[in-house]
Amino acid sequence: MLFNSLEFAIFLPIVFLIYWFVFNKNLKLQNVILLLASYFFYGWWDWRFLFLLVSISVFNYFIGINIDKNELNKKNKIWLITGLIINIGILGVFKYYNFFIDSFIDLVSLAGYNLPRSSTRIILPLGISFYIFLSLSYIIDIFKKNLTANKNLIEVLLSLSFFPIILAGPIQRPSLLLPQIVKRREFKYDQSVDGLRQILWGLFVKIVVADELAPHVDNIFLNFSNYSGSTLLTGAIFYSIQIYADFSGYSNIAIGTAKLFGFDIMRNFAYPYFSRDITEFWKRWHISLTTWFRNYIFLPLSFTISWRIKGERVFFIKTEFFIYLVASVITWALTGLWHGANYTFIIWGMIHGFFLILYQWQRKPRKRLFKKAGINNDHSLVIIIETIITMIIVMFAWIFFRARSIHDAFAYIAEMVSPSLLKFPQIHPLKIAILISLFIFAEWIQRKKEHALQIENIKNRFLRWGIYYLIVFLILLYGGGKQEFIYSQF
Amino acid sequence: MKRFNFKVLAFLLPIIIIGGLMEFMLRQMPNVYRYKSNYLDKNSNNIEVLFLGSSHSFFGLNPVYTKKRSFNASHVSQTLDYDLLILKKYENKWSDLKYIVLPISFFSLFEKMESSKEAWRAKDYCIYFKIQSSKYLPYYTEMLSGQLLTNFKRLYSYYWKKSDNIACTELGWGTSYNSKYSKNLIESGKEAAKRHRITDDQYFEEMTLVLDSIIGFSRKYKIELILFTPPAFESYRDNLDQGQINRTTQTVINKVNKCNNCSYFNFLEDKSFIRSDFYDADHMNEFGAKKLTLKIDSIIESKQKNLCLHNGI
Repeated sequence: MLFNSLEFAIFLPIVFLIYWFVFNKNLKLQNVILLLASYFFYGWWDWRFLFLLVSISVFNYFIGINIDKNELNKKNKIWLITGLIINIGILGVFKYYNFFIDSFIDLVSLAGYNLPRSSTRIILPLGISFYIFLSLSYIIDIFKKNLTANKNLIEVLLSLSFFPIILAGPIQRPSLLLPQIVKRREFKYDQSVDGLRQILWGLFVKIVVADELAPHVDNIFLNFSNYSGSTLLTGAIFYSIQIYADFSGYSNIAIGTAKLFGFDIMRNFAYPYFSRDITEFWKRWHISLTTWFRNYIFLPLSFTISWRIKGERVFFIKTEFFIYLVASVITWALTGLWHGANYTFIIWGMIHGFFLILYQWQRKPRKRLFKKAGINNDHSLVIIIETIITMIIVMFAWIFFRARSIHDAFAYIAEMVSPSLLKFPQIHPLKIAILISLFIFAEWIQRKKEHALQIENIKNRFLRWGIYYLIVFLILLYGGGKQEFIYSQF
Repeated sequence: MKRFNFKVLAFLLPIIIIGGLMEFMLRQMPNVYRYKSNYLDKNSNNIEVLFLGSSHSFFGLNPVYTKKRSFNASHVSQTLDYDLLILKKYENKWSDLKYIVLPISFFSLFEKMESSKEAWRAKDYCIYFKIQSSKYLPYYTEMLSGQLLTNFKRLYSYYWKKSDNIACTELGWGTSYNSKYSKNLIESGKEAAKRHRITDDQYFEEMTLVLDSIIGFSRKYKIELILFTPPAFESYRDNLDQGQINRTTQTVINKVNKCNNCSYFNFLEDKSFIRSDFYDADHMNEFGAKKLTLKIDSIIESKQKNLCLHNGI
C-alpha cells in the first residue's frame, strides 16, 4: 500500500480509530492491532512476500534471544554470524542475484564464452533493504549489549515491521523503537496535529513537486541525446529536486503517521540542499541510513583497521587519514550498492566517498589559507559559494544515480558540458519553475523547523486553515495519477 | 482526543461535501461509455453483429452500413481484455449475436489499457459499464481517477456551456474524427507508428491468452469471430516495426487456422483506401468508415450465404 493511495486514505483512519478508541487502555492489544495493520499494509502489495517478512522477523527474534542468553562470547558470536549470514544472504539473493548473474555472464563473455541469459528474474520484495537493515541492527545491538533481547514476540515483530517505516524508512533501529513499543502510549493532541501537518506537507511535496517533475525528468534522461547541454542541466536540476521531494515527502508522511500513533520516529531529512559542504549534506540527507552505515560499517571498520596498524604513517599518509580513507571507500561503495543492483549506484556512492575524503583532506590547509588571507569563513558570500559548490557536486552524482548505465551517465555529462550549455533550454516549463521556487522558499523560511508546515506559530486560525486548504487544493489539483515512491523500489 | 477528532472532521467536511457533490454531478453527465452500457443493457439480445476494439473500430466501423442489426461497442484505447470483459458481462444476453468483429492492430497483442497512458479510461468501465475490471480503487470514482482541473473543465463544459459529451451515433460509431478536421497524414503517421511501437513485450503472453479466451467464447456460443487488421495510410505503415507486424499477424493466423468459426482479414495495405478516407494516418474518417464497414458487411454476407448453402437453406 502506498502512502499516496486511496487505499491508505481509508486504511489510516480505520486503524487510528481502532487503535485509540477500541484498544486505548490495553497496550498489548494496541501492539497487536499495529502489527496486524502493518502486515495488512505490507501484504496489500503482494501477500506472498508477507511470509518472507514474517519469517525474517521471527528468525531474528530467536537469534536475538540466543545471543542474549549466552554469556560466553564465542557462542554469541556464532549466533550473530549465523544471523548476519542469513539476513545478508536473503538480501543478496533477492536484491543482487540478477545483478551478479548478469555481471558474471558479461565477465565470461569478455573471455569469448557466451553463456545464455536466464529468463527467470527474481522479483525484488518491497522494502527488503529497509527491514533487513532493521533486523541486522536488532541482532548487532543485542550482541553489543546496547539492547536486551525482548522475549515478547509481538513487540519484536512490530519493531521490525511497523507499517509507517516498513517500505522506505526512516530506518528507525529497534533499539530506538522498542522502548516506545513496550511503553504505554498516550494520545497527545499537539503531537497528532503536528503528525497531520507533516503528512500534508509530505503529500504536497510528493504529489505537487516530485510527480510534476517526474515526466520532464523521465523524458530528458531517456532522450538525452536529443537535447542541448542547458536542457540536460535543467534535467539534472529537476532530478535533484524530484528525488529530494519524493523521498523527503515519503519520510514526512511516515514520521507524521507514526506520530498519530504516539511514536517519535527519527528525522530523515534536514533541508540537505542548504548544506555548506558534503559532510554537512550527509548529516542532513537520509539521516537514518547514514547513521546506520556510520554505526554498523564505518566505525567498526575504522576500529578494526586502527587495531592492525601500528605506525604513524601508511604509504606516506597519516595513519588517521589512511583509516578514514579506507573505511570511507568501503562504506560508500556499500552505501551505493545498498541502493540498487547496478554499477551506477556504486559509482554514485564512490563519488560521494571521494568528495568526502577530499573535503577532509583540504579542511585544515584551507583553514590555514583563509586565516592567512584574512577571509572570514562565515562570511555570507563564502557560505553561498560553498552551498552552490556542494549542490553542484550532489547534482553531478545524481546523474549517475538516475542514468540507466554508466555509459549513459558519461554521455549525459559530456553532452551537458558541451557548448550547447550556453543555449536556452529546450524544456523550461514556467509552472514547474513556480512550483520549485515556492517549495524552496517554504523550506528556506522554515529551515529551523522539523518540517516546512510546522506553522503553529501562526496564531490566526483562519490563516492557518487557509494554508492547509490551499495545500489540499493543490494536491487535488495535481493529483490523480499513479506514481510510486522512488525509494520504495530500493 | 475528542477535540482532535472534531477539528479533523470540521476540516475535512467541506472537502468531502464539495468532492461528493462534484462526483455526483460528474456521474450525471452523459458520455459514450454510459450510453453504450445502457444500450447494451437494453438491446444486447437484439444485436446480430458486435463491433469491438479500440479507436480503429470506434471511428472505422459505422453500423448503419451493415444489413444486420449491429452495434459498435468499441472505444478509444479499448484493449482485448476489455473486449472480453464486455462480452462476458452480457454472456447470457447475446441471444441473437452471430458475428463479433474485432480489429487486430499493430499494438493489440502488446498493449494493456491499464498499463498505458490511457489507463484512466479504466474508470469509465468500472463506473458506467459496472465491470469490476480494476483493483485500483480510484478507478471507481470520477473525482479521484482524474485531475481536478480536468473535472472542473468537464463540469464547466457540460453544465455551463451546455455542450454534449456523447460523441457517437445511436449505434455507437465515433463521430469526432470528421474529414473537415483531418490531420496531417505524414506527421500523424510517423507519430502514431512511434507511439504504437512496443519497447518490451511483457503483455504479449497475457494478451494472446485473452485472444484465446475471446476465440473460446465465440466457439462456446457458436458466434463467428471476424478478426481484421485495419487499413492505414502509408506514412503509418512504412514506419511500423516489421518484426512487430509479423509477430502479430503470424500469431493471429496460427490461431485462426486452428479455429473453425474464426477468420482473419488484413486490410493494412488495402489500396482501395485512399488519402481522403483517413482522418489521420491510422484512423478512418466518415468516408473511410463507410468503405471499411461495407467491406466487413460483404464478408458477413458471404459467410451468411455459405452458412445457408452449408445448411441447405
